[in-house]
Amino acid sequence: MSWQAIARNDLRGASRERGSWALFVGFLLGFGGLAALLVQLGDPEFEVYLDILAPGVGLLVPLAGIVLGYETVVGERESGTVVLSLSMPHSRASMVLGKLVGRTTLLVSVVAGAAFVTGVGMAVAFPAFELPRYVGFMLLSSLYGTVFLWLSTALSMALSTGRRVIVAAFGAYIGLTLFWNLLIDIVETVLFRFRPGPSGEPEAWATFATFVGPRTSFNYLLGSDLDAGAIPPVAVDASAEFVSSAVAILALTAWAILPVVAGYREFRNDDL
Amino acid sequence: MVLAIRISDVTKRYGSFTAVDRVDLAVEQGEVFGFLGHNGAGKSTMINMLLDFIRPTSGSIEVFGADCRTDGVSARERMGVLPEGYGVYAGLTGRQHVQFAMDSKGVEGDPLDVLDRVGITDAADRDADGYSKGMAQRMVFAMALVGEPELLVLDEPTSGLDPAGAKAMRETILEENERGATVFFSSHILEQIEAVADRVGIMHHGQLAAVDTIDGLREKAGGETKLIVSVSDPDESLPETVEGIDGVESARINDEQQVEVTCAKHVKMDVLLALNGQNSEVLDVTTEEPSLEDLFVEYTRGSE
Repeated sequence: MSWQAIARNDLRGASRERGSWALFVGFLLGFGGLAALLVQLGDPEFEVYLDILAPGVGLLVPLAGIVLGYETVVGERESGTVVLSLSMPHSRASMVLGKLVGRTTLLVSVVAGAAFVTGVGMAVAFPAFELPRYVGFMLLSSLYGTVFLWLSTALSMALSTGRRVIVAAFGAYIGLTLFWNLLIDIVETVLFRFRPGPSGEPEAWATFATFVGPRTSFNYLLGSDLDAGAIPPVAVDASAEFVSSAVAILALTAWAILPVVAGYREFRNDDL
Repeated sequence: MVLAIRISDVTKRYGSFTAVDRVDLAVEQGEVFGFLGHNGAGKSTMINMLLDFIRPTSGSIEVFGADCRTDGVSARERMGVLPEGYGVYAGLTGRQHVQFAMDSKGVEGDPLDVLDRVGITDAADRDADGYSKGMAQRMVFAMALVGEPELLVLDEPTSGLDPAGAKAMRETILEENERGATVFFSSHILEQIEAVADRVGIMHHGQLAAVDTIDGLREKAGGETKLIVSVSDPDESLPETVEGIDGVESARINDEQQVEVTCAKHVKMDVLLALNGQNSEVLDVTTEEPSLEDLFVEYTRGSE
């Protein structure tokens, strides 16, 4: 079980890094700050809290995932610690697995820690506080952040310099959170120029592609299962069968795992 | 008995540059094998292939019968490694580094025991990224010692160490060898290898130029000895007298007014008697065996 040694070592190091604590403080300020603001304004409503927090989380948690992930492998290669790790009887696969487990645990701990402190305060200050929905919201947020953490880890394996990984990781972040839907629209428009559609109805594949974008999937899950934030327009009146929580979760999982598999295939055969 | 290391026809090319060129080498269990060569001769490339950090263009490497490429984990389970070009984990102490090695190798115990052996007990609870090069080197050596490995692979182990530290490390290497460990270590410093190695391989321009025992190498390079003799009354006639003896290659008065004689081993006494007989008296004698440096120059000159 050699990935456990890697994961434990990664966490030991991370727990003493200032960045980890800064991230914790950042989330605490975000989660707790919003709660405190609503209390200040009087009549704090739990529904309002979730509705405001949902889009914020949709942008900030992935960013945290990117920040925690992009150095995972390339950082070890550039600093030379990968040489120490792989001098031990670890395969590259268990090293990557251990790093993923370590980093994911860190991300989830940071989110959970900030959520816990905020939650205790909110249980007192918010009359309509609902624990299950709050926990569900934070779990989904962690899952969403993990997707970007794994995505940036994949880039960290596939590319050979830190600079390239940073550019690619932040590019992926901006592309997937902000421009995914736009990209699908553009592709659809370009295709329609050659074969005009019968009506203004979007093609099924375009709806599907939009729906499985990580941000849309995440927002759909928040909106439909936890009634937090707005359900994305693409899913509101879509009657297609694939518009479901199961598909959204599957899509998020695929966004995490497929890039890691591809990145690992690069890393496996690379000279260090 | 299975070989500790078997390197079969290994070549590593980077584009048109050949870093390691058709190397064959067998290291027996229980040996201390010194891997000698200038920086850039291909030593580290060879060791990095042994550790599966880089992959040979052709050929194969086995450690205790396990292929380093396809079964690297089994190979490294039996190794303790002090690699080259490592970095320490930021934010972890020396103790935690060793703990990681113990976790990785499935060894129970106190990290302090092994930190004690390399003499950095006092720094065990300091962050390793604040260590000097020498301390980091000792710490990683300690990580290599964890779990009594059957094979120690040490890439330039004494780099960054002061002479006392280098000596202590050599002693530990010999202790490990006593215990039964095979040791494979590289160095560009000849004295390091001379002091501990049973056999030496000389790497030059990616090729293994020679493999032999230290005595064997000396013999091949000629059995000559240098005598440095202090006499009571150094005189220009003395070298002339000595040069008349059969087996003496050269003799001269050096800057410190000693007589320096290069001769075959078996005529040493004749030289001393000759020097003592005349108008002068022999006060002191030192001998210099040809160093590996001399041998190295001898071996590598041909392939320049």
